[in-house]
Amino acid sequence: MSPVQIGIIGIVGLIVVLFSGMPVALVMALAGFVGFSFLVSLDAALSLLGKDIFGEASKYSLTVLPMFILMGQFAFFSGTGNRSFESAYKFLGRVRGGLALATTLACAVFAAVCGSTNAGAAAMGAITIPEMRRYKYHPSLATGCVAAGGTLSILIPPSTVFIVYGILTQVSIGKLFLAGIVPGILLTLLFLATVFVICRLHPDYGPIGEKFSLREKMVSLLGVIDVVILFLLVMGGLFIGFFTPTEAGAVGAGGALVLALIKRQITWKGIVQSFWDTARLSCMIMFILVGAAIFGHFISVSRVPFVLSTWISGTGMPPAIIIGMIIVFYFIGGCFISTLALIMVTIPIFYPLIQAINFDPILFGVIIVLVSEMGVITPPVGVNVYIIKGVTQDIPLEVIFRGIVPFLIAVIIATIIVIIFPQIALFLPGLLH
Amino acid sequence: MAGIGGKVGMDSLKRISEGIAKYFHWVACVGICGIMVVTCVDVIGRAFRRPIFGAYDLVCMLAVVAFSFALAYTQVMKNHIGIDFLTSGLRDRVQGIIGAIVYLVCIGLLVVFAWRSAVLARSLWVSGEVTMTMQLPYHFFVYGVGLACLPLCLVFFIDFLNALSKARIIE
Repeated sequence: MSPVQIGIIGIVGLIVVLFSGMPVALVMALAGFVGFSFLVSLDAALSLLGKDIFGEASKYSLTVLPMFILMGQFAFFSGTGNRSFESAYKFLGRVRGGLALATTLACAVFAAVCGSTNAGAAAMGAITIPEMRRYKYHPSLATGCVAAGGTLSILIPPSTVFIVYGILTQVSIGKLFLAGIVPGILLTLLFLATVFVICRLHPDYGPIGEKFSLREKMVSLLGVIDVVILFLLVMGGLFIGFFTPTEAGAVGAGGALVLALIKRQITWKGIVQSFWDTARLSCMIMFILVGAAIFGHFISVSRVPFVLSTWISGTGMPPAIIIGMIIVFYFIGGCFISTLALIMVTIPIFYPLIQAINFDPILFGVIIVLVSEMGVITPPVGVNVYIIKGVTQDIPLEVIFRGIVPFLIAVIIATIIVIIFPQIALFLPGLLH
Repeated sequence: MAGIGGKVGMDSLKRISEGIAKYFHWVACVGICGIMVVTCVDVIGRAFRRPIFGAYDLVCMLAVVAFSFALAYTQVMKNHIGIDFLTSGLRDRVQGIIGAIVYLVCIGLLVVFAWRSAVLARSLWVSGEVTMTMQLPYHFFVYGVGLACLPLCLVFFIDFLNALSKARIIE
């Protein structure tokens, strides 16, 4: 059997075992270990296991992950989401659908300090949905806008998906973060437009709320000033090249903690819980990266990515079609598999192809994140939808999924716009040298 | 098969494994805190031309601690991502059988991880390899990785017993 055939059998085996419920990290490690044993030798595969688990865990580039997760956790436990929502509501409450608009805007603000879509949806869902229900908002609008708004956390930097993509492809995480800013603003505007249109079509979905004085509005802004400070500190430091991504994350986390302590917004319990959850969430992702490294070694030895990219390039298929097919693959895959896991399983196979057709890796990263956003809100494995369901036990899943549809269309429109006008994503990283 | 005695034994085993996992998780939290503190102090020190000597080495080794010592508790919380939407639709007994096989394979892999980490640590110890600037001995941390795989094995073993119980192979 040729290495390519063994590689293909390994990929098929991986997909089969993946659906058994076994942790993705161990499925990838198992497929990589067995495949490597066949292609090289059992001894080499055994030593690969020991080297890869330590080698990956001790990579400096990986330490960026826990730092940005920690920054998000501190923001979560210090009530940043709550204050962002209050401020946004004071500005938009008087408009029809104002609470939903405020929720979307607050999600975007929270995304500037939090890189996890789950944390974004959980933080904002718990705060905003009870408020929207109190003001008689339609359940589908109330839940749909939070589930979708939570996804902004992985597009607006810092973003765990960008970090993982950067680690897997060696693309600059700083450039990826910068590439996410303008598409993040674009998607926020599209979400706001979606709420606006829904409320125009169904005025009873989003009743008008309270009116606030200019002074109240201005005072509320003080509550989000720390988000602005942290975002400028982290992104500014990365942009001018003063920080490595890990340093930016650590300074962001340290800064978030210090600001929360000064303003007495975080308890000792909140601090401990932040570290506790960060260790858990980072470990979950890092373990998959260890599995991906072992699987990646096997896949490279099998030469499957090389053969795949040579074959597809040889067909003369236009790059746009290839990218389109990959997007469709991620969109369908994202409906069934956790997007982070999907990215880690498939990037070692697809990325050489992206390089072969000379597609910009940063633009591809942004597209991957946008498609991931679709994955976390589409059934049957729309994680954000289940998080929102956890917050609002009495709203049926169908209602939440129905509420998601208009926002899903907004994400698709944003993806198309970014593909047609790549400068939206590439302009800012182009300034970084 | 085992009845009430077995249930009590199972509960004790579960309590012990979760207790060990929690102790390990505290160590992981110290690792995370360490990365943040060392990096922040290094960045601030650098602004005053006083960076921490060997901050890079320290952060890398703390990351090893943070990752490996969190492995077990992450599984206690069922946070290691698995795709179970196909198997969750099956009958309980079938789910239990598949689960038992899966967890057995997981235990096997973890034992190999622990064994190979110990082998690697031994060779690093013998060759006396240390980190570039701080001269921290690598083998110490590699042994740590191997050690941290063991509580995860124990947690998987509890999951294995639960799966057998679901499959009605044991009570």
